[in-house]
Amino acid sequence: MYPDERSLVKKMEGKPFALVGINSDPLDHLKETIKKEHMTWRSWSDGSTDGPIATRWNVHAWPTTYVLDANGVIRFKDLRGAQLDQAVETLVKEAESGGK
Amino acid sequence: MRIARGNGCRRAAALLAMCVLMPFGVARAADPAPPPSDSAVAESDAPIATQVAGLRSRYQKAQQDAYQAYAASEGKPNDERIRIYQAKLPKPHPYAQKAMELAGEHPKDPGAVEALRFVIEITGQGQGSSEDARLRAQAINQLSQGQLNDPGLASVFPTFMYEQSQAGEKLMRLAAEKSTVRDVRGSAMFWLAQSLRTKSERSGDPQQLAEAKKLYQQVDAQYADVKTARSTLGDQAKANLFEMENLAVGKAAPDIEGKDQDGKPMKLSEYRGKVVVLDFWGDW
Repeated sequence: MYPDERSLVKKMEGKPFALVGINSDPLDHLKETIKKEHMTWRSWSDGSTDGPIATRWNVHAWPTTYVLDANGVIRFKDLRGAQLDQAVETLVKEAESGGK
Repeated sequence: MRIARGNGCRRAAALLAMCVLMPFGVARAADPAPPPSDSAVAESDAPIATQVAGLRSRYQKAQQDAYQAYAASEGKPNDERIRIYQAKLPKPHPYAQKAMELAGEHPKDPGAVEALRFVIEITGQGQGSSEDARLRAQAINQLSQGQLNDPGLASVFPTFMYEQSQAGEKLMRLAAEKSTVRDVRGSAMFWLAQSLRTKSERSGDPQQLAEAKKLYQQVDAQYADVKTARSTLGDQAKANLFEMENLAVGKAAPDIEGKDQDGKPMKLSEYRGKVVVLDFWGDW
């Protein structure tokens, strides 16, 4: 999980892209993990699996991913690995060429 | 792989790996009876629910042993590792058979639902021997015939959400209509909606999706106050309706506000102009 995320972030450096986490661990655990896994991106601290953000988005399985385009529209849900990277590349190209 | 909160997968690496490896077919061999516990004699006098708990923990221990064998085989070629793992995996049906006997001998005992739920859970894990399927069908049938008004019946329904089952769906429809226990009717309706929604996401069938939506609305209208493990049926139904309405592909994502790991405020809308991956994650 973490190596895939790190490599995606690295690949997209300098491009209109952001990986943002919503973390369901207690805050100190989150901080430890970020340090241990060299995570350079931000995560909301949702505090628990019943946190306000996970509750609002009806998340009951981890990990869950959403990909939003540069206009904030949801374009993909629950992609992982190579499929996730591919979707991101497509949308970044779309954003760079002026968007929808 | 989606790992649903609240099942064993989330808590231990052993069970986690098993969820990943389970979809592989298993070579059938002669199936031994479940190993007796040290206190087997004393246990057979114990309440049914206790005996089922004992069966469950022996089954889980056997699954963990299989994972240990897999972990210890590091360095071997991958297909050999899988073979080692599958050879040690416990076969569900000796355990399921024992649980069916308990439920059959004590049909009025509150532990009978526990026994039948155990059968449905372990035989539904996709390995698909005909013996497993037979026991599963028998368990669902017994619940339909004899346990419709048992408050514990509600605990069985979630298992049908991902393990799509026509018999399970029939059971939930029957319970939603015929159970004399209001909480069971509400839970049946809610989990039927969950099952139809999952089914429609896989099949793309808009009718299933529409029926799921109607059922969630009905749950919210008639059973909102029914308590669940961490919430109420009303709140859970509303959360699903919100998700279906606002978080579908093509919708503008609602804003998210909160604090990041350093306590700094962060809003999703700050990222407008960038492609965003929202990653709901946890470390365990």
